[in-house]
Amino acid sequence: MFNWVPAYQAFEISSTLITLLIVLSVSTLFECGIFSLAVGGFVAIGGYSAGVLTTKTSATPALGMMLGTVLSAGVALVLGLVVFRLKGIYLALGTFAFAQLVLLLASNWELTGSVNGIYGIPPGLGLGGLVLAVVALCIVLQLLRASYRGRAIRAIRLSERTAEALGVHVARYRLVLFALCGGLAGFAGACNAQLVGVISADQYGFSLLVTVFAFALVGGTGHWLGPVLATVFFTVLQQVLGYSGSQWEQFAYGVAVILVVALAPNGISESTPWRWTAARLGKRRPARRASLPLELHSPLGRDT
Amino acid sequence: MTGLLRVQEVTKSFGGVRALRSLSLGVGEGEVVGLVGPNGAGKTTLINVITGYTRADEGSVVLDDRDITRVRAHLLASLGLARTFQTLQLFENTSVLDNVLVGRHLSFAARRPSMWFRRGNASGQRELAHKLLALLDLAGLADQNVSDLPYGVRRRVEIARALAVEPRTLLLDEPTAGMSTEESDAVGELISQVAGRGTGVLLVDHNPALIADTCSRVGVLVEGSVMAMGEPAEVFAMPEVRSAYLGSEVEVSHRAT
Repeated sequence: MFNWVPAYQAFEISSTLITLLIVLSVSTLFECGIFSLAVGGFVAIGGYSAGVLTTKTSATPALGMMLGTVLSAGVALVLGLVVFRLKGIYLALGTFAFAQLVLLLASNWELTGSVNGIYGIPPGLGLGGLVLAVVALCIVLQLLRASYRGRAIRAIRLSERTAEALGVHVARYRLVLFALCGGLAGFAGACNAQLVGVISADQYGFSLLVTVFAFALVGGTGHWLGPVLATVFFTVLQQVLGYSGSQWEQFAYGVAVILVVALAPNGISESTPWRWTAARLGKRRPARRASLPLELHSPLGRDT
Repeated sequence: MTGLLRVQEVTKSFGGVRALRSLSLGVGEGEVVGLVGPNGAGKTTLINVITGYTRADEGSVVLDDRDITRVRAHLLASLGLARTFQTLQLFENTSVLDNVLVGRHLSFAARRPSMWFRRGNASGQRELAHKLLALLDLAGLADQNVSDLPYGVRRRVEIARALAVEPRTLLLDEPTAGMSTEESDAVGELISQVAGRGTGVLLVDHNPALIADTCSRVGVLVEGSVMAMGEPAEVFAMPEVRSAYLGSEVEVSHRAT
């Protein structure tokens, strides 16, 4: 489907789409008020399990991808059980410690190639597959957003205890979402390993975290489209200015985050211009004139 | 003691402060029980204990013959318990309608066939939410951002959201604080209506007129225990209540100045 795209561009676009998957796994957790720094750990688990499985055995890349996804989700589930006893900054620190542990393990374990990492990982999903994955994810995020569960997730972010008092099983929502986003990050990690062919522990460290968080924070929690636009914008900027990989890259993210924090503290998708545009683009139903004064005396029927 | 909601011998201390001392209280079906008392008497602590936010040191809370003392907070809504908060707890920067619809969460989840992504503005639910809004005189405000609304209106949104749970027991923590007389009269009338449909209401408020108009019984809470309990007219006439309640109110206002 995308054979006409030159190899270099295909690689760059694929790599951006993979970053986008990781960013969405982070911003979806933001949506639920979970500030987790574990994402690097899950991406690494996905990358390494795909890498190890497909280089040490004769398993197909697809199998490697599945293992990466499932393993990350499983680890996220267990981690969530432990780490959600912490709140706020302590949760962030706990998850960061986990990510560091994963990297420490990866760079010291023979199975994961210790400091040399793994090379010669056979390619997996092509550009077409990644486009499909991103589109599918966006559809799911939109469905979630429009559903009562999406509303419950936002409610948890805004006030956990109040959501709980209204019957939202906060602990379960957070845990399930954490596991799903962990699986998503693992999937992205596997795709990345298969795209690049070479992985080592240092690529899942702090700079990945900075990049992903810059995109997610700039995008904001208002709508999944925010992080998508932020990712695309930064990548294009990177290509145009050609600063990718240089020290200017991190500098640019730093400036962008400061600007966003100053001008639109909740990210572009919760900024006033965004809301303004959304209100005019969206087919807002006119406020329904409740024709109800008549029923005023039997309004709370459990029969309704 | 019988009733829908029974608080039995509940004691709760925070450090050296005994917020609740062996407190017992009951709310029957369709009954509105008032609770008054000076600030710091333990009214909000009691509501927090009932709703599982704060764990009692001793004693138990029984709802519908089921001991809910150790039941997790999120399950209480499914047992028909809803509350409002003394310090407003709205979902900020969210529409009035969405705030109320969060209260419908369990009803969404209970719908069959169960659907992972059931649309959050299903017409039936939206209609019910609009009914509730109309009931609280919020009809035109459904799409407004709650954060932009004046205080009294925000209070009403919170009441609407609690009613959206379709509670059998409703705990209202100073629902009319900051409201005009007309607004609080309307809320009083609404409380009577809700009780008329069989819901038990525990009403914590500082407004004696509201208590007298809506409650069949009122308890006076002083230093964590019920000092007097009975019909509002009787209770408010008791000299010891007058001195305890009004006395400390004066003290409080003194300290404030």
